[in-house]
Order: sequence, then structure tokens, then C-alpha cells
Amino acid sequence: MPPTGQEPPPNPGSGRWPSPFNSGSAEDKSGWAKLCNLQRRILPQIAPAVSGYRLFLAYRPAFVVTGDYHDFFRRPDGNTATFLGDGSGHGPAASMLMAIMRTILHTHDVHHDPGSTLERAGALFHRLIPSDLFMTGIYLVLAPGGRIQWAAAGHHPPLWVNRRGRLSAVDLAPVGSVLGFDPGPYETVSWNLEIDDRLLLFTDGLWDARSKVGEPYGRQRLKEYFAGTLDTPLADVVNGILARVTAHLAGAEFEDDFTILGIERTA
Amino acid sequence: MTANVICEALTEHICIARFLRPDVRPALYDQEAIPDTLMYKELNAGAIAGLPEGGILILNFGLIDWFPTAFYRVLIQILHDMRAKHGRVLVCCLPPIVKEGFDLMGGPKLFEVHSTEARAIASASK
Repeated sequence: MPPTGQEPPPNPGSGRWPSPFNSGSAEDKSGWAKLCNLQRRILPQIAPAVSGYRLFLAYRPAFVVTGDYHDFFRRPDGNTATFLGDGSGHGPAASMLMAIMRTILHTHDVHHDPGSTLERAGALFHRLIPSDLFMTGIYLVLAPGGRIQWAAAGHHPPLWVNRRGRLSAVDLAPVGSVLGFDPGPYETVSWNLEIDDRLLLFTDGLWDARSKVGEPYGRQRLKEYFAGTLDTPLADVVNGILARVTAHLAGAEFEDDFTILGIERTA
Repeated sequence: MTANVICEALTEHICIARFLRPDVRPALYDQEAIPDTLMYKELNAGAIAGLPEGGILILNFGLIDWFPTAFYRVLIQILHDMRAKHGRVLVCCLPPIVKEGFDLMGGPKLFEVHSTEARAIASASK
């Protein structure tokens, strides 16, 4: 898929480096650097161009590599889908989970309606990982005319703000269990976006980012900012969220990876 | 070593585990595999291992303030263990900040949730 023109982030692997990298042997450092570079090569650095929509992506590992997983797929029906997931934990172990899920989503016939996609991918994932690991995720399909379908597995639903600035209520009822536990059914939710409506997809490292005194950034702040920035270009909104969360941390280290995907219907 | 959880056997079949501090991350992050973590070992030794077939474990989250995914991994592992015994896991007293993450991860679809310990005990005693 052609890029949107979004510039790649200058250093997505800007999270803190593990002690083996800082204090280990040259061989250790080389290994970490290779792992970081490999992950950067397999993760999309920018969102693709999708007819009728504008997308803007940002991600930030808490560690040298991320357990968050974002990707885009050209589906058999010609539509574009995105998957945004969060492997349990963070760092190298969680990055294994994202690699497994990436393999499943790129090599198996799982791209059906979003609920079926998560069910099929989750069943495969369940067979491949240890019982104490899991991944949360959301699979969302962008169809022409503002038709959106999504399903979520232990993951926050998209925030949806319309062009009048009204934020839709977040309904957790359709959210199914995390991927990797019991393979189970997932509900597909259908929305119809109007032109200029926006969606925000994100991982929990964003709203759960805590300041030095332990205060989380919180979903409420995120929702208020997102709903109040309709006149701001989408890229600036996403970057603004990053800036606000970073300011909230006030020097505290990011505890978790986070990924943000902004979507706007343009036609 | 400071305990992170205290386990009380109400009956032969029902045990309550109460977490003792708001932030138990050191006991969650000390090992990569959940069965190797201090938190899991405390829960297993204090509650799970002693419960018989069909036993019930109640987890009281009243004092917990920090609920990372590693904590949910512990719950998933406990659920595996208790299902192997054909038992049940009940969760109670979730503070709002914990409930937010627990609900988002689909916790209510896997666990029986109660607002108070008394209600969880009443359900377990039925």
C-alpha cells in the first residue's frame, strides 16, 4: 500500500535500553541493535494511504523493542484492515508475541469479518504460546463510504468523535476476552462515519502512563483532548497526545509501550 | 521477604486471598514466566495448592492500585489452575482504577466479579 506522506518517526526505538545494551559486551550490544532494527523493518513506520480516509500512526516502545503490534492489510474484499495489539508485558519477551501474531495475520486465511478474524487468529495464537501469555487486540476494517467494522479482544474500542465534536459513549460490551486464552467468539461492531468524523485507536500504555507520583494519564484526559481538537490536523492531534502524555510523565519513565492510530474520514 | 498476599481458608473448599499492598509489581516482574514469579508462588502456596477438586478461590483486590498486564497474566494462570481442578475463581472489591483495566481486558467474561467480599463469599457458599 502506498504511504500517506506521513514522515517516519525519527526514532521509534527511543525507549530506554536494557542494561545488557548499556553495560554488556559488544556482542550483546550488537544483538540488541539488530533486534531493534529488525523490528523496525517489520513494523510499518507510517500508515498507508486508504481511499476515503486519512490515517496517522505513532508508536513508542518503553524498551528497546516493543510488544505492541500494529499492521495494515489489504483484504480479499479489497478493503483495508488494521490490527492494533498489545502483547502482555513489554520488551523482548512481548516482542515475541507480536512476531507470532504478525506471522498468523500475514500467512493464514483469517481475514474475514472482524469477529471471525479475531476468533481464527486467536485460536492459532492460543496453540502457539505458553498459557500465561496473551495479547489484546483490535481488528478494524475501513470500507468505502465511511463504513467501519471492528472487533476487540481485551482491547479498548476505538474512540469516535463526530464532526460536531460529539464523542460517542464507549461500550465495552462487545469487547471479548484476550487473545491466547480460550478461543472464543468475538462480536463484530459496525459503524457509519460521516465525512470529517475521526477515530482513535490506541494501546493501554497511553492512558495508563503514570507520573512520578503514580497518577495515570487516564482515559478521561485522552477523550477530552481528542474530542476538543477537531479543528486541528489529525497528525497534530496524534503528536499532541504524545506530547501531553510525555509532559504528564514529567520525567518518569514510560512503563509500557504505546501505539496510537488516528483515522479520519475524508470522502 | 515481605508477603504480598495473605490467604485465609474459610472452609475446606473456599479460600480468600487478599493482596496486601497497592503496588505489587516487584512480585510480578521478578521473573518472565508467571509460574516463576513471587506473586504466583505466594498464591499457589497459600491458596491454590491447598484447594481440593471443585474448590473456590476468592481474590480480594481492595488494596490494589496498580494493575499491569502482568497482574492479569497471573489471573489467567490461576484460572487455568483452578479449571484443572474443576474449581472457580471469584474476584471482588475492584477499585475503579483496577476495574477499568480488568473490564477492558474482558475480565468479566472470564471471572465472576463481586462488589464486596461478603457477596463473593455468599456466592461461593451457595
